[in-house]
Amino acid sequence: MKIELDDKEQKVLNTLARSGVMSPSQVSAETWILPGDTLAVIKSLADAGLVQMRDDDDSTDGKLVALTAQARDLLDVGSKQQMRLISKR
Amino acid sequence: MAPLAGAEATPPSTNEPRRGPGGWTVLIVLLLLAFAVFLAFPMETVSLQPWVPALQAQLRTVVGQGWPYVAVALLGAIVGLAEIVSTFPNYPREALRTRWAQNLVLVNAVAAPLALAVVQIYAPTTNLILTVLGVGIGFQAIIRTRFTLAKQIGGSGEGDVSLNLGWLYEQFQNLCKTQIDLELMNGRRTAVTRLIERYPTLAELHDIAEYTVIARATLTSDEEKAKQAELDRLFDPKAPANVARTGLALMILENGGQAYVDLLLSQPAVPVKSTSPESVVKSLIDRYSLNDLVALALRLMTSQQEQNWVQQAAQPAPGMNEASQKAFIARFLVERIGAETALKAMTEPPAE
Repeated sequence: MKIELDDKEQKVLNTLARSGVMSPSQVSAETWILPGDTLAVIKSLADAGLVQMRDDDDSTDGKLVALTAQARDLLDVGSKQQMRLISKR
Repeated sequence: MAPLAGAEATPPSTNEPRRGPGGWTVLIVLLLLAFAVFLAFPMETVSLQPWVPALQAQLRTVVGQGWPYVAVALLGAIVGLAEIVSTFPNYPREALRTRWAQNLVLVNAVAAPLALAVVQIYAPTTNLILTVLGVGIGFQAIIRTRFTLAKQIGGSGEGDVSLNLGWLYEQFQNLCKTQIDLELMNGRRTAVTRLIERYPTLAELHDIAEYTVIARATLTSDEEKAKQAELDRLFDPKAPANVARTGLALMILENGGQAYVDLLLSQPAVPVKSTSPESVVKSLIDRYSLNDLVALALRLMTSQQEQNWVQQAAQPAPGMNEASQKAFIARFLVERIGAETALKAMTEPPAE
């Protein structure tokens, strides 16, 4: 199984893997990805089943993002080099 | 500490010193040892009151005749414990602490010697050790045997007078298990409610729930994946927030156990300070318009790269409204310069 991720998507996944559940604005501040791009990346990752974004009243931007089991699996296995996350060039 | 309702081993708060379960175990072991020494010590060679060797001889006789019943009662109790543990694998300790679990173990410990007595009546010549082991472990099967007291002559068996202890035992067993489950449910509800009160945000609950999955050493890879999939299901965007919170708290309890929940609840709650990043971000969003927030950010951040980011973030973008842009810029600002500096800048007029 190969999942092609661009740099921004990888950055967002790695940030979520490192920090746990975050709001989109926290992801943006952490990765320096601009707000519009951050939401687009999160949406693209959510469509691929790698993250979940849900409403949250406690978050300053009203949303929370978390990795899914599929993404955790990919990141773990990727770190063992049994599966590769191939960057789009 | 979050006590389980009905779990009576959880002591009430009191100033009187109480003997813990470890203390009772030591005391019982010491008494048993003293009893064994008393039985084994040759009293006949020592000059004592004449009633002491007589008592010892009587006790030796009683123990000699009664040990199979004691052994079988212990085995029966162990079978009862194993039954409860296997019925409630997620909460074995809490289940064993309930009153009904103790009743079930006690009934097992009493029923097993009765079954031994019946077996000895029906088969008095069988090997005693094998009988003790067989009855101790399999007494429930013996109990379930229908003992026919009077048989109908020439009948099909429907008119026989028989004693069906198994039915009675099964009813009692089911009653105990139902009551244990109800007591545990009360306890779970209490623990879940307290967890949600202590960790009210979805982010906190999700992170703790994820930790309880990752930190478990005994989970197989497949079990871990199944639990992570369950975590995703609970965090599903379609699930209402209160349902997600309850589900995550329950998952923490089931994966981490009551002791871990007690540990989480014993952590002192950190009061939300006005200088916390969340509070400062909220204040910035509430207090400033987008243009004012951008101006503040440009004033406080000296790096060209940071200023460029803020200016680009303030540009219209698909899917972004002004409130969202403010949230992103406020967060970026607080992350870059720190919450306290941002708060200070909000309260102080800009330097000329």
